[in-house]
Amino acid sequence: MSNPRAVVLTGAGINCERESAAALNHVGFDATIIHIVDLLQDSSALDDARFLLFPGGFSYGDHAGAAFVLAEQMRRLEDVLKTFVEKKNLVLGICNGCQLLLRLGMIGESKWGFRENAGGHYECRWVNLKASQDSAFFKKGDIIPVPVAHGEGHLFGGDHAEIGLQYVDENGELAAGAYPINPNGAEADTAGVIAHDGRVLAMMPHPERGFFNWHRADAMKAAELAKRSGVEFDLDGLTPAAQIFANAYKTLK
Amino acid sequence: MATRIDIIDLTSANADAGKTKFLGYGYRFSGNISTEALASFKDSLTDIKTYSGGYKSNNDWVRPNVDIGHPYIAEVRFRAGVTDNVAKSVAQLLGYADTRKNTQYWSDEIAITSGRIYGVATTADAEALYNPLIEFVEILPSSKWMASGFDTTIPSIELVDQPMSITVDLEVSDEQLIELSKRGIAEDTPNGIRYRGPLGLGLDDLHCLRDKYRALGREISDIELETFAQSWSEHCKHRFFAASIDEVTEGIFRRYIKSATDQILQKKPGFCLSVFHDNAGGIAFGDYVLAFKVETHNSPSALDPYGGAMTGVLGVNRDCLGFGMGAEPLANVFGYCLPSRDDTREFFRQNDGSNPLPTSHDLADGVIKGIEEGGNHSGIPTVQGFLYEDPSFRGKPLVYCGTLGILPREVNGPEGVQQSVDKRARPGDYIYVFGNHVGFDGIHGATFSSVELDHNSPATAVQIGDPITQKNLQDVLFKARDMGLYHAITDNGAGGLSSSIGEMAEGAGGAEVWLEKVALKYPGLAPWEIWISESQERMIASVPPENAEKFEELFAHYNVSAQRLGKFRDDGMLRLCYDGHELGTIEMEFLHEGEPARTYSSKGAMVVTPARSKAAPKMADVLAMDNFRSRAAIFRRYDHEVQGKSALKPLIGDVENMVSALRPVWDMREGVALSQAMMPYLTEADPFMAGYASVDLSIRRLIAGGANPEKIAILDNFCWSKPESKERLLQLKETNRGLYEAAMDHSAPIISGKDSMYNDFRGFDKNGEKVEINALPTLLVSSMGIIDDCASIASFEFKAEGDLIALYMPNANKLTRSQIDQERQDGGAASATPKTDHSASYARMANHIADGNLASVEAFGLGGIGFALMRCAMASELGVDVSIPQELRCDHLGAFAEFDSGFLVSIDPARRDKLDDDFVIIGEVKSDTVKIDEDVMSVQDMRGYYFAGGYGGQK
Repeated sequence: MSNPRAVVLTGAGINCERESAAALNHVGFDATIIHIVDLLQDSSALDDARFLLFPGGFSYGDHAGAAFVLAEQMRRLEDVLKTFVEKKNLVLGICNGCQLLLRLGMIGESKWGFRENAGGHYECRWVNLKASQDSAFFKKGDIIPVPVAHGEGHLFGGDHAEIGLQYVDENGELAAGAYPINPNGAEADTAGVIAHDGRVLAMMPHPERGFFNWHRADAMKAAELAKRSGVEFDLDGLTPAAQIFANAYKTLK
Repeated sequence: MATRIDIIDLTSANADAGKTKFLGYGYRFSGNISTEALASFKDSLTDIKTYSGGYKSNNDWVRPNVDIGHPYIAEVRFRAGVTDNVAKSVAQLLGYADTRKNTQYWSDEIAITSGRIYGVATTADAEALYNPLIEFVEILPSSKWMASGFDTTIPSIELVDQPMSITVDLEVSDEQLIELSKRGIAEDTPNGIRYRGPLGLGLDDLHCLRDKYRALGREISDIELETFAQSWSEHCKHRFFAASIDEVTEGIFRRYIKSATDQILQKKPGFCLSVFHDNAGGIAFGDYVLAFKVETHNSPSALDPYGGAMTGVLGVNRDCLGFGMGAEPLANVFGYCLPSRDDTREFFRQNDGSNPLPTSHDLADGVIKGIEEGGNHSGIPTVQGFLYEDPSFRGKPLVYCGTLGILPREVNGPEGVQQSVDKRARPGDYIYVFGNHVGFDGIHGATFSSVELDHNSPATAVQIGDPITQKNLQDVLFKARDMGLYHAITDNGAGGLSSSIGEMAEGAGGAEVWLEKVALKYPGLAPWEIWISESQERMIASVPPENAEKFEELFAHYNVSAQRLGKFRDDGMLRLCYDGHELGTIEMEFLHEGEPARTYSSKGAMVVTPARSKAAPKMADVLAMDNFRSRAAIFRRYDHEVQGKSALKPLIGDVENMVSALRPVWDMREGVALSQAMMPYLTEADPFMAGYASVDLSIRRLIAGGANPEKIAILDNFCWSKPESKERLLQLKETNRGLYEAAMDHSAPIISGKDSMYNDFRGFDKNGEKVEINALPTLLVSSMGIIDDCASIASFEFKAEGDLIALYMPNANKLTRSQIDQERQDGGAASATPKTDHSASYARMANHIADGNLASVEAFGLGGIGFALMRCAMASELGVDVSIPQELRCDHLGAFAEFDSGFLVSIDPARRDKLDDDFVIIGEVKSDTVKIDEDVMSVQDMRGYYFAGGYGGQK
């Protein structure tokens, strides 16, 4: 059986499409990058795809609001997206893609909002996440170190039963809003929200950038300490963040 | 009909009422737009529950459902014609943008503008929010706004009716020629004489042109004169680097830069794939080419720090896009030379207290924000950079922007697979311009950066970047590249079409240009303005006629504007036409090689350095100095992870890493390291060493990051001031000699460079007294090196308590002057530092790193051994206990003397036997206290001081 097909959206200022597609391909998907102009003209590429990824970036410069203009355009495909989800396929929105899913109302019933980071500025750093429940992308209790890079990641106002990922410290304890463990002040330390039986995930952090061990912020220290204790440290090994893609693959395969 | 919508963030409306607070956006619409469309737009803008929208049609005002807690409310709006990215996206959303039309976001029927709304405590606070060169502000008491809202009118460009072309009489006195160069071509208008803006040509240039046109038997046309002004400008031709200076008769560029690279490439065939002639320099990386370019954007940043820095980064991104057949940007680097944020001196461009320079605060905030948006919005990680503070940058800041790019060695061309670094426009090819449209932006930008900043500096030189248009341009460019549609491409930078087409026509042997075909942002530009406008986000392609249709279809499909505006020819002439009239006819050879050579002398200039007088500082003293404070907050605002290639981060433990590394191709273990170095505090005291040691430090940082010393290439950026003075000329010559010798000793080719010679400000203080501020003459060396295996990167922070700390600095010499001397306004050592070639010891160090023996490696620069210890301790949150050998200390600088060489390393005690005689063990890593001889401080306190500075704030 051939590998499950994945579609990665690009265009209009989306800019994480290539590494997102590479991450999907690395775990076994057959990923295609499709431009928004082409998808709006002809959405048949979604017919036999099993995975749809909305990558990070600054679609339309986030003008008039993060992911706002792109969301207004994507509404034209509302029915197509609905069908896609009903077919038990997976949808992942990362960063600007997360904001897009929230705007489109594709996450749950309760409508999550997002606003500017509590610190008032863009923030790029590594954080730790903990999975709050099982989904197609992770198991409850998974600890996932991963980078964030956004200016408006303060999620709020939704149903806490929909929380999928939360910011935690290095011991796995909830950040309780404390900066920089929770980098943006998100309500209930929410980093990701899930819906549709765990098959749709909207997350602010970027698992595709924390994919290999060599991506890790502490890679050199980990390698040096491993050497001393005689343990092998594979720089090209996959991180817990990469397992988000690998788990999705296992779900569909 | 005039209408507006106001969107207010409910969470901000009543927060921090005593402070300035961003509240939301205002949008104004004029023309025939349906009320339903606007109402639906307002509703969709407030779909996220934090916002409330207001609506005003004619004078009917329904305010947002919120009370404003601030006493005043202000809306900052762009002046007519300034790039308004928000309005553009809104127009696209509402379906009023048609990129094939001649105006981009102001369609025939509709005009849309955006504004930023703030709550403020006083009207003075509101006045501080905007840059009058590009913006204006409307301020209302909040109660009045709640009652009747902001204004709904939309400003329009005031167009002056211009002749298509005029001729200029050069047969006039020298005084009149100087006046012509300074004020520009004079034009009669109904309102009197209008000067078109500085040409920046020297008297020698104007004499040369006068002789040429006398021989041709006709007067020079305005568009011809403007073309020469662009092409012969310091910015484009690097006149000082070509000039004969003293014994360097062939010029600094030929003697010191090009000759070093030529000699090194003889020894290293195949390493460099493109040097000097393209938009960037390129080296081999497996089946790929890595291209690197660093630019400066000092003059635009002095006028509008935000827009100047942003267009700087987008511009150098385009240098990368325009390298070879098109390179994809992998990473940005930046460098700021600014006054301290606490420098409260006020200066003015006019003697009546008007036209002020931006405050130090606004300058810093603006450039930092400009690079943030330029990089983050484009999806290019900002991986390395620095902020250097000195009072001499109060008049004119230095803003460096660099981009590393990658492209396959082989790409498709119209004739099949070809080397990607080879490109040449062919006679018969069509000329296409694609990307943004053209306005008055940046007219006279190239000539203006070649003159000193004063009150004549044109405001049209200020523009805002548009990263999204550029990203769209980039996306479609690579589709066109992979389809093999063009023979050549290049960036449209300084000088606009005149430079880009002028340069590309050199390859073909001539060109004719149809200027009426260029898409404009608004009507009313004269042909000469279209020709030299520097409107951003544009590139040029040379497309064979058989591909023209496909090329146009591709760009139309992805909504990126492209116009066919001429044809390359082989008759040796550049023909500038408008509606069938040939307004300019220039011989290509004369345009590119006709500028008169210049000769300068630095005879009599001396290097004098007063003796040092201050006592040795302690750690606490050093941490109080401007350049020994954290810059972490800047790096945190810059996305350094996008593209997923970051293998060594710019921050470790929130402390700046002086070398960053990327793995550009996931499947390759090889990586590329980037570093920078500069020593402006040394240029006046020991100019040769300022050049030599800067190269050494930049290379040493790469080696610390795991680079192979055999595979390093460097770039030079000279930012000088008062270049005609003998002292500055001598310093320029000597710094270049140092650059040459260091490049030769390390066999590191200089693959690209740029210079900016007039970093001077002449203006007035608040009492109207004349002031002149000259920037410290500064050479920035930017380097890239190949890492053979990224597993060998050690990183600079300590790894474990109990590790041994050692110095590796065979034959190192103390430098004549250090940054601490500069900060304390102290002198230096009596004599210049002798040159020592450290390349052999660096090769040995690279082997130690590749063998994986060392736990951490730091190349020390600023603040010498002492500050290196502090940095490594703070990054790891571990302490040290060390004794520094007496001969490495200095009476005036203690543990903080600076050297021309040296690494600080730590190592697992179990591997102690790996340390050969080159290493000197000075102590070990401790848990939480830093002890350097008798100077003691806890690492927590140290981090506290370090991060307390203006850019360290973790919040």
